[in-house]
Amino acid sequence: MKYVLLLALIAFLALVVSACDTTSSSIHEDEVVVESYLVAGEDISTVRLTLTSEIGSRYDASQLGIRNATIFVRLLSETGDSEFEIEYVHDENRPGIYIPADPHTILAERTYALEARVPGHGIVTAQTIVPGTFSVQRVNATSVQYQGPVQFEQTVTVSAYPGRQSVFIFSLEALEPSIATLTPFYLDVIYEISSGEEYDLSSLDVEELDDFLQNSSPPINEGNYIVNPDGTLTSGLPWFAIVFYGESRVHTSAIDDALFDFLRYQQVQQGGTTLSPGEIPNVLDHIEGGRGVFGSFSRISTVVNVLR
Amino acid sequence: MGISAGRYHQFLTLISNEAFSGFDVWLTTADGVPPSYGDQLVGGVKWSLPRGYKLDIEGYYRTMTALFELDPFVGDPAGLEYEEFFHFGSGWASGLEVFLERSTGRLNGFLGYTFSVTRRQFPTLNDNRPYPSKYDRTHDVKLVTNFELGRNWRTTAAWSYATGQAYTEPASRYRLNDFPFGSEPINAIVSPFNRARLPAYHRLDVGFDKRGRFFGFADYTFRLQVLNAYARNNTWFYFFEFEDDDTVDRTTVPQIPVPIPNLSLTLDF
Repeated sequence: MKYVLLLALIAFLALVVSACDTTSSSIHEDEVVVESYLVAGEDISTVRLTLTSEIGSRYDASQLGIRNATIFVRLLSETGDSEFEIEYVHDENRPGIYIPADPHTILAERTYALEARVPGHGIVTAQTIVPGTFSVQRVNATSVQYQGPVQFEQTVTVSAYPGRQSVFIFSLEALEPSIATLTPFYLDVIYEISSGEEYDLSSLDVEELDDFLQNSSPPINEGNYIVNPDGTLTSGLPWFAIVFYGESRVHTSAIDDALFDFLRYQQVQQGGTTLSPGEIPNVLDHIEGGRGVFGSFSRISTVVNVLR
Repeated sequence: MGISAGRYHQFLTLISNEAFSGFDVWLTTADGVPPSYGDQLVGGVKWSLPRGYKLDIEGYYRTMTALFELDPFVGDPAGLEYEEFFHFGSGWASGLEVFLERSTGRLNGFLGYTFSVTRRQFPTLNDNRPYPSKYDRTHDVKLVTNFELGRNWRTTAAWSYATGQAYTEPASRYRLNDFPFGSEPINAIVSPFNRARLPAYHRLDVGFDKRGRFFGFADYTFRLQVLNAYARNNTWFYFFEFEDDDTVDRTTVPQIPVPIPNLSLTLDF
């Protein structure tokens, strides 16, 4: 009898606890998202302001664009004072996009500050230190045969950045993209067509190529380069980065902390790290009062022709 | 009644992958990576009750200082010093355990209940604010009963319950529409870190034991057991993914949701 009572107690406890599972849901709040990228030596860029959207809802950038903000970008002196400021005006044809009212060329190794006053959302501020400019010293070839004995290599000077080694991103921009110029590896990745297999070009969706027009590496430390006796850095372009035969522009970008932190945290959000599945940290953004990236980089570009 | 206190040092940290336990790696302290340590205070009382019952009640508080874990945000490790592979944090845990046991009689077993709170704090997570760690279980109940059916036959039942593991339920997202590196916009999730809870974990295992002599040279226990007897669909974790139509999909990865039979033979020499 006692045993029956105990079993009944177990069943009762099981029923009670299964009826009160402890779950909770997160609540969405609108936050301002800043997006702007300053490039050393190039014209000052636009600023995009949008709102965060509720998870699960369809994302529409034009509907989320903020139209009534007041934006200034200031060049700061070493003491943090404003040397001059540029006001931005909203582009009525592109919701959320703000255009600088005056021209300005971005200065390397200088600090820029953004201030956006958004009615209903307060003041959003951010700063970026523009990485130092650098240059290509030499390339070993302007044409290479795909998977041939010579790999494309370039030697560059160092980009200065306060407090840490340089961090680079390589981007390969295809100048002759088409299905017919896909390398065998990416023909297989995109269309699942093996090397040597015959296919009907007209049956393939060319829009599938859109994701591969610019292929970028994750952030790569200066420590990954070969350091030459003269202090320059040499690196090779791996074959798997090459999507299309023909000419591609190789961009090498030295990035600031805002971009570096955004990318390394955003990668962790995708999973596959030492965090447990379901532990999703927020991106480390350098925005006060909002989210997003007000970042900067210096870049150099060379063109390489990849032959079949 | 008893009380104890101590400081405990730990010179290793475990890097594990929950999906593949075979890839566990232990990392050690070194220059720039000091051992983590904790101060612990435990106090409790024990009673011997009539009819073979024992009751233990114990409370504890422990700190965790200089916790070192592999920094998930390192990305490219090239050119970094050993200590730069880690992030360093702290934490604390506190709780109350109640343990009622009966080890004699035809019906024996124990009932254990723990109320606990565990928090951790790392500068790289949750804006450097304390958060519930994955080990945090507010309520944990274990009930184990054995009933001697007769000569050499016994039934067992074990039921366990635990508050669901803390996880991050995404609340919002944003998109960098003009991202300069790559062909497509890039998405980010915004959410309070580990503030949500998976559904509670509970499970009942039942079984029968048959004991005897094994050809005269050993004692044997033959056990027929059914794990997860009432087919509780416990959640392992949730997985979130951006879909092509711009929505975010949540996939539930369950633990084994069906009863699992288990046969075992144990020999004692």
